[in-house]
Amino acid sequence: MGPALNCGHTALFAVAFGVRVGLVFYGLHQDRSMPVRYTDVDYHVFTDAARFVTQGDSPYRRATYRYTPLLAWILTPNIYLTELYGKILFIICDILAAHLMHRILSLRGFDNWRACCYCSLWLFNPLPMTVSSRGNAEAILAVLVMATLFYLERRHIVKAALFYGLSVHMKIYPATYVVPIILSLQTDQQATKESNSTKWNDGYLKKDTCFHNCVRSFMKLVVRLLNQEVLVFIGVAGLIFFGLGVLFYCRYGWEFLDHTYLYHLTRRDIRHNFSPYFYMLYLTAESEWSSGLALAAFIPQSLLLLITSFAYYKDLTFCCFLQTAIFVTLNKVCTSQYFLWYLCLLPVVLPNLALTWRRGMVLLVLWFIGQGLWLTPAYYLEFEGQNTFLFIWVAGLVFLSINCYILLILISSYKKRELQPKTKTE
Amino acid sequence: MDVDLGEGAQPGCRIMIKEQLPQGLYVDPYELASMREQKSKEILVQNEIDIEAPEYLSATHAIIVYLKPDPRHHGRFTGIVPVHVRYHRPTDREEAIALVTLPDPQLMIHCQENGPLLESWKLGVTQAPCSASNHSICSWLNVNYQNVVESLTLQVPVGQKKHVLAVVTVTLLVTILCCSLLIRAVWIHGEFEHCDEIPLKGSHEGSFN
Repeated sequence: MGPALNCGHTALFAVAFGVRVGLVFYGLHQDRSMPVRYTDVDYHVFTDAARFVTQGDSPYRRATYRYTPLLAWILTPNIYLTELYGKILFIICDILAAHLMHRILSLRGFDNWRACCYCSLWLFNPLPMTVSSRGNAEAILAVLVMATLFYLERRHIVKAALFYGLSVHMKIYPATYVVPIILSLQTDQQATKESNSTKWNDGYLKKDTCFHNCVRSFMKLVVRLLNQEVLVFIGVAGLIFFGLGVLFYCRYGWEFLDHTYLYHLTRRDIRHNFSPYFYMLYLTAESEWSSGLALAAFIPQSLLLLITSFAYYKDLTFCCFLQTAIFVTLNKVCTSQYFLWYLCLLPVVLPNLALTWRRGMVLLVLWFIGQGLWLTPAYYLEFEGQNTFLFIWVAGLVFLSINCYILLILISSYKKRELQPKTKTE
Repeated sequence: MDVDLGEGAQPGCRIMIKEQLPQGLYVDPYELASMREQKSKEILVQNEIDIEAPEYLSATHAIIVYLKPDPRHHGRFTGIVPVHVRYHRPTDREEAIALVTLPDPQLMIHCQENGPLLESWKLGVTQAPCSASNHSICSWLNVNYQNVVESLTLQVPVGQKKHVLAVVTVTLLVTILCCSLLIRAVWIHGEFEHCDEIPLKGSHEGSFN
């Protein structure tokens, strides 16, 4: 049974890789023969930035390059070898991410066949296929995040921290995972319960009111968090992140910090995008309310992220999936590439959701309808020059509601995993 | 854009147009670079362009378009410029439109030999690059011309300021409602360690359940 199923697994991945390579070559053909190009603008931005790097210049000389210089450095073979190098690299990262999903599912006790079924949701999903073959770098983030979660699952803290530090360096959004990760690394409650309860109860915190109980449990949490694993994780991830940051700051100066981080944090894109806040930010762009409104958008998002961390940290993949989905849905800017950030976690999360196939399909169709409802007026605005701003705004709110509804269904259908005990207490 | 030189056209003449693009329009220098590589269009931009800025934060800039001779008609030159529209400020007025007017460009000609007819067209001489790829400077003669079309005005859709109150209120209400629903769902279904779950050694009925 083993070798046969392994052949099936290899064949599946090989076919998925082949399809993506096929798309890359089709993209070459479309770029040459049709007016609408297959390759994404971003890929040209990366290539131009890599060209500047090969000439010893700063990649930020390329306008709209808002990424880490590391990406330009990685893509220098685009200039030395072939311009297809980057796309092939992204495709390989795509397949690697699926491989890591498979490993995580295997670790959780799923057999090869079922794990392959869930991975097919990523391997044969048109969205990541087209995104990577068009030359967007989201696949790199997918691999880094999956690697982090995989090594955390196996409690290889140093490796996990390495990949985590790298992923936060490349894009900011994995920074939202730090709270659930730290919480998941806390010392097991069982081990500390007996030793702590004597200490605290015999002390001055003897009153049994709700407030004092909460303070007590909070301080117990803090004590549980100060263990070796947490410190190693923070230390290694921090070293990677700040190390790379200092290295590139010394090389490229303030431009590096501005374009890689500050732009994304303070970005208030008034051009139309999926975000429900788009029209509000466009209309108030020059008024004194704009920073206040941006803050008003930020606070509910942060509160929700914090509560989710505490609720689901025991199942890191589901927690990270929820965090990212919430982050993307409620962000001030949202483009279709962002969807990949949580889609890559879906195959690993699905086994724990009590969703029938029919319900899942309904949610999927609803999600696509929401996008279609937005894309239609956006097309008329961008290519026909018609004033469809109000329609885009309403479609943005509808899309937000659909996403919210989907998340509510997923949250309510989540069933707790049977977790392996981390430390053997018996 | 099409330019018709008429019978006086001499072979070996090149036509160029210098256009001052208003704040509301821009050309993408990277798009133009790739077009130059494909030899389809030759357009030169001399200033730095911020391709992401909205109209009210941008400046006008000049572009030079080198027109190609039309193979079907002698003396005719044609060129196409891919132009993009910037985001404009929302308007207070009833009509949700901003107007962008394209001013008349300067037409210039450079010929290998200066024939007698060309002498009569001479208005002024400008120094400018000979072509988009060749940066050596040529002398170009300004030419008077007759514009066949009225000046071009583009209608750009913009947001309307009168919507501000409604948009802000409804957006914030919907997003806060969605957040509240999600917080409620996570609170109900999430696995929290509640304050009262941790058994306290030596405690009695004082705990709050």
